[in-house]
Amino acid sequence: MKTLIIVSHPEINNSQTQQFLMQGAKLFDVTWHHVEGLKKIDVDNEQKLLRAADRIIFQFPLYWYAAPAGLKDWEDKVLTRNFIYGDGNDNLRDKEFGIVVSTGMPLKEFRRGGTENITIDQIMAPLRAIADRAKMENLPVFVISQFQYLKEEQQMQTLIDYQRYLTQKYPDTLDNRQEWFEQEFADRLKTLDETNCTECETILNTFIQQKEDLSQLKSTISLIKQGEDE
Amino acid sequence: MAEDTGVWLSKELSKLADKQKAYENRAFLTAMKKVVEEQNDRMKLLQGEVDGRLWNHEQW
Repeated sequence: MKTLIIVSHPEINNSQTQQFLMQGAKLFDVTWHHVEGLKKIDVDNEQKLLRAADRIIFQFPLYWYAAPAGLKDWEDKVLTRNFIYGDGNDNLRDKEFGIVVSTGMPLKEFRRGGTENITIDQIMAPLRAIADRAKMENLPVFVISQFQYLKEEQQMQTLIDYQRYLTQKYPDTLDNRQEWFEQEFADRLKTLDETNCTECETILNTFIQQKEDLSQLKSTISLIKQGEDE
Repeated sequence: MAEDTGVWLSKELSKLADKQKAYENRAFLTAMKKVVEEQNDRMKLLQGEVDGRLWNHEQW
C-alpha cells in the first residue's frame, strides 16, 4: 500500500510536532510531501502523486478552525474539477483519505459545551466534502493535542499510533492491529539491541499463537451461537 | 495455560523494550506490549463467554 502525506505547515522546521512525525514516517515507505516547501505547484506532478497513492493523508496544524493557507492554495490549484469528478474518471475513487491534525488546545475542548464549542469532525467538514465528492473512503481523523505537554510514554504511543495510521489496514480492529505488529516485529528484528534471534523468534511465535488462540475462541463462540439459534 | 503465556509475553516485551537504545524500537515494543495486554483481556472475556454459553441452563 502506498501512502502519500500532504503536509502543510508554514514553519515546519520550528514545529516540534511535525519534526517528530517526520522521523516516524521516515521508517516506512511513505511519501512525505510538504506543500510550502514546493518552489512552484506543478499541477500535473501533484495529480500524478495523488493518482499513485492508495492512502492520502492531509497533515497540518489547526489555524483558526482550518488548515493553513498553504494547503488551501494547494487544494485550489491541484484539485481541479476535472480531476476530482468532471472528466468521468474519478481519479481518487476508493482511495483512503485521512487527516492528521495537531491542536494547541486539549481535545476535550473540541465538543459542544467545551471552550471551543465545535467538534473536530465539524471543523473537517469541508475536507470531508471534497473526499466524498471524489468518492474516497474516509478514515477517522487522527488528532494530536498539545504535543509538547505529552509525557514520554504518551509521545511514544503517539508515534506508533501515527505509524499505524499511515500504514495499517483499516478499520482499526484488534485483528488488524495484531497483523500490523506481527509484520513490524518481523521487519524490525534485525535492528533490536542486545538480543538474539531465538529469544525474538519465541516472542514472535508466542504473539502469533495468542492471535490464533483468540481466533479459535471466536469461532467456538460462533459455533455455540449457531447451536443456540437452532 | 493461555493466561500465563500472555503474562509471560507481556513481561518479555517489557524486558526487551528496556534493553533498546533506539527510541523508535523502545516505542514499538512498549506499544506491542499494550496489544498483548489487549489480547489477554480479550482472551479472558471470550473464555468467560464460552463458559457462560456452555453452562446456559436454558439450553439444557
